[in-house]
Amino acid sequence: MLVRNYSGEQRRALNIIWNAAGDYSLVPDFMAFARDGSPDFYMNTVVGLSCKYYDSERLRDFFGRVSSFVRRDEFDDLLWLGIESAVYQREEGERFSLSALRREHGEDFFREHATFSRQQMMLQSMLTLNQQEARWAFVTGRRAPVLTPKETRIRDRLLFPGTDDTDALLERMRDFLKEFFRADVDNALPIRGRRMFRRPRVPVDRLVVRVGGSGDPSGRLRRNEHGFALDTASKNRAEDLEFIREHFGEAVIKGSELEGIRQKLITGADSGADIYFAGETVRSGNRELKDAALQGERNRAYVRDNARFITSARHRLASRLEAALSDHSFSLPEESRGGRLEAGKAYRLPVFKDGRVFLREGEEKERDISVLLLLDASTSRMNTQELIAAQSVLISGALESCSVPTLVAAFRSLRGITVLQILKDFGARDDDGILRYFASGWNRDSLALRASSLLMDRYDKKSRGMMRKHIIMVLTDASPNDSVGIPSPSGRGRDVSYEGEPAVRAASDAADEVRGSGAILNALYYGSGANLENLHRIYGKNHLRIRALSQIGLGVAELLESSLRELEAREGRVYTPRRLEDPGG
Amino acid sequence: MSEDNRIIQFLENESVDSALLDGVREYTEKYPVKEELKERIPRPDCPYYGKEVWEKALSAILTVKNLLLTGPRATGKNIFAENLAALFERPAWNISFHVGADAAYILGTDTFDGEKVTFRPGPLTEASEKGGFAVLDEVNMAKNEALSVMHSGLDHRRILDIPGYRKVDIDPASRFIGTMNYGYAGTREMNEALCSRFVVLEMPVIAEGDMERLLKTRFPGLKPQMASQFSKLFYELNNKAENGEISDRAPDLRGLLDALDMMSMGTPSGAALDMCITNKTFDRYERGLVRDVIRARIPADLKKESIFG
Repeated sequence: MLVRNYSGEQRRALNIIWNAAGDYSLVPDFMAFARDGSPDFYMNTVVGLSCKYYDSERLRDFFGRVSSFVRRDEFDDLLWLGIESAVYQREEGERFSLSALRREHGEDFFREHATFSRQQMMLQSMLTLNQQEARWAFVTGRRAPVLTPKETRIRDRLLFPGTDDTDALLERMRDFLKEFFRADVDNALPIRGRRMFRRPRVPVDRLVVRVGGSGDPSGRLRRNEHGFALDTASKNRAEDLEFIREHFGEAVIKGSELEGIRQKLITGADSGADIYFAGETVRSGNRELKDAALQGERNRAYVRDNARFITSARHRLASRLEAALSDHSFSLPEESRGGRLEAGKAYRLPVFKDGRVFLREGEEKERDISVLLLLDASTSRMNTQELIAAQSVLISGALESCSVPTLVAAFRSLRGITVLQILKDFGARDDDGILRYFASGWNRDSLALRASSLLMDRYDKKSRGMMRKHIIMVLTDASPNDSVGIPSPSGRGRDVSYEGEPAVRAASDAADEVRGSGAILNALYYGSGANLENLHRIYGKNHLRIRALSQIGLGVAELLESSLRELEAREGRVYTPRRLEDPGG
Repeated sequence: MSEDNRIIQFLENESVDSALLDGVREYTEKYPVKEELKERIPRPDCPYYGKEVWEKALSAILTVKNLLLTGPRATGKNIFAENLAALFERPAWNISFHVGADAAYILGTDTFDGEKVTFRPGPLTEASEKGGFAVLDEVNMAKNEALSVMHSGLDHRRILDIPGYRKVDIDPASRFIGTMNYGYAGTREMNEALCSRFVVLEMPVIAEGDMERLLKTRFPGLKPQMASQFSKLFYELNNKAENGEISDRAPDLRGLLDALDMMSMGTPSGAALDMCITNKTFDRYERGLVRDVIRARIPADLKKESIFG
């Protein structure tokens, strides 16, 4: 099966096609886009309708054969004009808005046509352009262009009737190409692949440039002769760990406790990697960390410049969270003059005329919820570091003001070691650690997710079960990548690179594991539409896409509300958070 | 049975099993409702369409079973519960369950009337004493501990033992109808003890033909072509949600009916559908997808005259 990695606009086009076809399993060969890269609504509807009325596999095979001709783009455009005519006639009575959409499309054609430069005109096939102009002039009631006798015949032949079945349609298209272009489809070799009516100009903002980041003192990525990054994990683990310690300070979990955690985490897809739990402090001294300090200054300046906005957004978020928490937390009882009678105090009524012998829900709430805000700190977040720091300050501030203990941590992978760095500990008052957030290295999401779940369990154990309900909220771009690959299951084959589909699958499995342990996992996605597919796979429906800082308030509140509902829903089940084994026995 | 029981007339037209309808008539004659409780008998806006569901439910209620209506949103669980109470001419008490619902909320609470502590009965107690239908709405939103107080009422004992008050024998005319969504955020698994006290009726998504009939009943002036388009729009949104492309907020039957209400008052189609369907999704990208589905069916500038005849 094809790995589907669609951009946001492509996915929207696909949705239009699926909707028209009524079939969401369809993988269409064609999608249509306008010059600005947005989906062409009407032509994508036509593509979908073609799959509704005709055998899409046979159409695919036919167009696969057309692909082998030099003039394939011209043929595609002409044949789709024919199909448009056929499906329009079939669907017109079924779909009330179709004629309006068709006219709108025709108007768009002429609007776009009017802005063509001479160079753009020269790049077009005049035959196709004339045919399109003739069709859309007819649809919009404009005067028809002057056509040659041959072009007039082509125009008429392209008015495919709506009565054809798949056989008749294919026969008609075959004859059309043979008659006007002497192109014999039956003797052409099929070529498969998705094609666009017009290539979408969608900016790909998925940063995959990995040049070592600040974690690699050399500033270069080590590569082997095949161009792949070397598996640095196995070369000299002690040296690598020392490198991490130099940059991130002493580990907060070490010794036998760390060994116990490693035994649980360094397995399966992550068995070639390693884990390091770092504290808030980052050492200074070398050039890379000076860059990190500089980023810290930028974060501070950004938060300072937007202080008014962040403060008001935090207040708004806090008030909404407060409302959500009041619905989903337990009120401690308090004495009152109505409610549930406290039998032991009933004597006070006649004796002391004291009416406060009832219990009602008090204002004081009992909350045993804790939140981990987990930040992807890999190089791909290079362009949004200040924004992420500001988001984190806002969210953690709002949560803390609602008395929800919040931990902020960042993760990145350097030399095959995933560093889970605590930026703001539970109960910490200042945001200094968050403001030191910087992006570098890779991101091994699978290991980071599993490690974060264990970290929360560890805190729960320390607090004697007071924080047993964990919500892990990940700020992510849903694009896992690491220099250390995934070992082959047999141990004999080559490692698979930790990127693309295998990495997403590993992250998705890890997410399942985290959810299985009782934590609520959700994601706040800030990025292009390019990784939406990954986002869906890893986090299911528990994610929210934001495009601007101003959306944070509503977004986080929404996610948290659904998390709280989910937590409450689980209360009826046997819920035992996974705990770390006590290293002390 | 009152002569103006429109639901029974409707069921006769739907060819619902006549033996079951005779059973309903016997029941209503056997348990006449007191005058002061008549205002509690629901008057549903529209009948529930679905012959099979009706037959299963009637069979359960006539054999003194508690009925649990399950299924996703927009399957008409509450409308059906109202229809049942109206058909059997019973006063209904609707009890909305939430995570904070406790025994006091369900059964009743102590209060001080100025002289002495008295018991103020809750909706379940009232329904049980007065021969009503108790509609336990979203029953799986409540915690199982809170629901356990109902166990003795729901099983063969048919009593509610309220500590400090008295034992309430459940009126033979009383029935309990639960509704629940499963798999939604906020819902929980119902425990075995409670579940075993209900017969479970899975409510299907309304069939396409029934959907059009529902629209025509609610909006008699709706043009047949438009009824078909709005009905198809609902299924297209539902299909998109089932395939995980949008959340399940968009395929909202109530929202569609609300939008048609607004259109009947002169709001253009685009604005009405935006307010009642599209804007219920938070994500801007998702809103775009919902808007695309609507655009492919209903032009945004349709006026009242084009929709209603």
